[in-house]
Amino acid sequence: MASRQAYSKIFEVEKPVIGYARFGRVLKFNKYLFLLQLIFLVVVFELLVIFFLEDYFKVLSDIARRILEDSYTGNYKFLSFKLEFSISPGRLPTLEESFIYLLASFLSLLFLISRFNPLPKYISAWLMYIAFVYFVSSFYFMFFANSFPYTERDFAVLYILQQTGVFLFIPILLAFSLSIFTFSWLNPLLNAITIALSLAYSSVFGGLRYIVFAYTLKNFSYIHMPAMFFLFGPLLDFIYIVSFYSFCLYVTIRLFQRKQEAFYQWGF
Amino acid sequence: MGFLIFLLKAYMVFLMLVLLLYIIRHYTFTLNRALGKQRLYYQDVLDEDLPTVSVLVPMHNEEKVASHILDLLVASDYPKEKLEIIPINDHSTDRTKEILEEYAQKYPFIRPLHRYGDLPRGKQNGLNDALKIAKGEVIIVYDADYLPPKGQIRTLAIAFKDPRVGAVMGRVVPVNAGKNLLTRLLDIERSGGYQVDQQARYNLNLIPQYGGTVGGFRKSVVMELGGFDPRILAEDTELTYKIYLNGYKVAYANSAECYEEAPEDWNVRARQLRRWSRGHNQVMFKYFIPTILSKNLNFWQKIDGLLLLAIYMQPFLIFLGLLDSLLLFFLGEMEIASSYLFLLFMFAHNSFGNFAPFFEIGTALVLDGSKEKVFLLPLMFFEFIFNIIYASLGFVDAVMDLITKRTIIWQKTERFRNA
Repeated sequence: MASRQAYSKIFEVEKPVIGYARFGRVLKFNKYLFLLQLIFLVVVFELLVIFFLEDYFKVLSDIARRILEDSYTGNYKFLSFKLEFSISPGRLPTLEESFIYLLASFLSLLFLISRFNPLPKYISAWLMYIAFVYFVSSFYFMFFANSFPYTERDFAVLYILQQTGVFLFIPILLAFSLSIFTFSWLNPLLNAITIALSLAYSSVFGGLRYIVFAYTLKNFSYIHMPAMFFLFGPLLDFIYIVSFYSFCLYVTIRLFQRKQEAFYQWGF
Repeated sequence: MGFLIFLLKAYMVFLMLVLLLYIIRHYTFTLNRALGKQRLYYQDVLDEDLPTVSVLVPMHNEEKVASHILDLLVASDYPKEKLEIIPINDHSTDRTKEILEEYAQKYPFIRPLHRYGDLPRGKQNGLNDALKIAKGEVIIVYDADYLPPKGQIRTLAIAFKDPRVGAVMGRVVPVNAGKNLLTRLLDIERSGGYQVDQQARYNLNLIPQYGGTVGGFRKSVVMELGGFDPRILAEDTELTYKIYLNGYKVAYANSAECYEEAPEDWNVRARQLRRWSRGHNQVMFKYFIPTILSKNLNFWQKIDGLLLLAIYMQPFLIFLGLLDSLLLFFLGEMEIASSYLFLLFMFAHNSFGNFAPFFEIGTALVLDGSKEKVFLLPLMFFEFIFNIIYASLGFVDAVMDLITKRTIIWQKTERFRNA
């Protein structure tokens, strides 16, 4: 009995210093907090997006009208929303422009796949993708420019749809990714701040990008339109969304790192 | 034209559903690994009656690293009377042969196998030849650049006390993670792949994968199943499927961490990725139907097995999806909700990971306690197109292999360590 007590005592003393080895630890989990913050973050931020959607595009339209020359204002009805936009008339590329882009993109592709290319492969891969999109675009405008199915108004509508998709998607993506962390009631707050910051960044970035795109279509022709969707569209949005996710993760670990017990437990 | 547009849209719907399926799978894995009950490995099994083990180390021009791994294997705490080490010198033209002979003279349990002349090159061929001379009941395999810790052979071998275990797999950790951007990215990918993905598949009784190194298999099972197919480059993936289809299982030892040398050069990585993709897709062509028809797999194992088989086909499907989207754009069909949402989904899933989404890698890093590494997650963007190109080329290679039945030539991964 005595030895058993002594053993228990030793065990009790030593137990707190046994680290949670990374192979077998899991995160402390509160399923109620998980569900609560998941629902809260998705519902609240989706409602906020819906609530401010018309106002956002109205403000963007006002700013665009002041910056873009010869712009006109239009509306797009998306479900029950009336989304406003301002856009300047764009233009089709001339034959010479198309030819120059075709030649430049073709030569770029040849150079990028050649053995003389000194660039790292991950940079080359991206440049190849850019060159390929421009090659297809310039080829199209060389031969079928008059059949191009979009006007500047169509571009504005497509952009609105894309940006609305990004706004609606951010809370879902981040809420599902971050709700896993349920160490304390600080997590919902931190996660909410992260989503709010992502949305705020997205609204500024999305607005600036729209104005730059509209300016480009007016001054440098529709030849750039595919790049706007396939190179500088949702793909770029995910960089900052994941950046905010990373930042939130870093702050989460920093907040709780002093006590391993605060966020790890054995998984067995 | 209307029919073409219908086909293009139908492909986008198909692609979206496939990618959505993978997202759900990875999210399930993330939740399971981060929060669920973990399945115990066999590390607590204490048994004096250990199986005899043959450690195979395939080598082709490995003079830079050969002595490192042999020194560590010699220092292993596994009873030497039950251990033999067979470095497989596969047509080396550098000093590998001399180094192996020096070790063989010093240590009687090191018995190199030299393969020259007409013998076909390649890891799978080397393993087949080594299996003929190996005396161990259990075969443990390490690539030559690996640095196994002292107790690892015991940890891996003990799983074979369970007669249902056909193969075992440990965790791979890059030793040169801090070298450059590429090694850092590979390091966090490995973290997601092992800490979350493999462990979750083990927990959920799905298909944890035998990875061909830091792992082992029961010799009798592999011999009974005909050894390794010399026409398949991914002998590890093939073995995984052979084992499951024949009623055995793969055990995953998350505690058996072993350092490897990750590629430090993007050209080397490109070749490695292309080879992996080619080999994995060869296995897909061979085992897709048998996986569906297998009586030894339950429903969820079949689903996971099929998704795992198709994982290196994904980049090619996404490449087709990008072409499809471009076509739809020029045909004036950009306005359909699908176009922008599909792109969003595609990029959400694949932009930031090799074949694991950012949240899976992020969770793995939290479990690993690697707080600074989380800032690398957005940089995985750099790999997106790179992965699509080289994995797609690997897929095309595999299709050509299937059609032409051409001879497969093994491309060795270059080493960067100083001898």
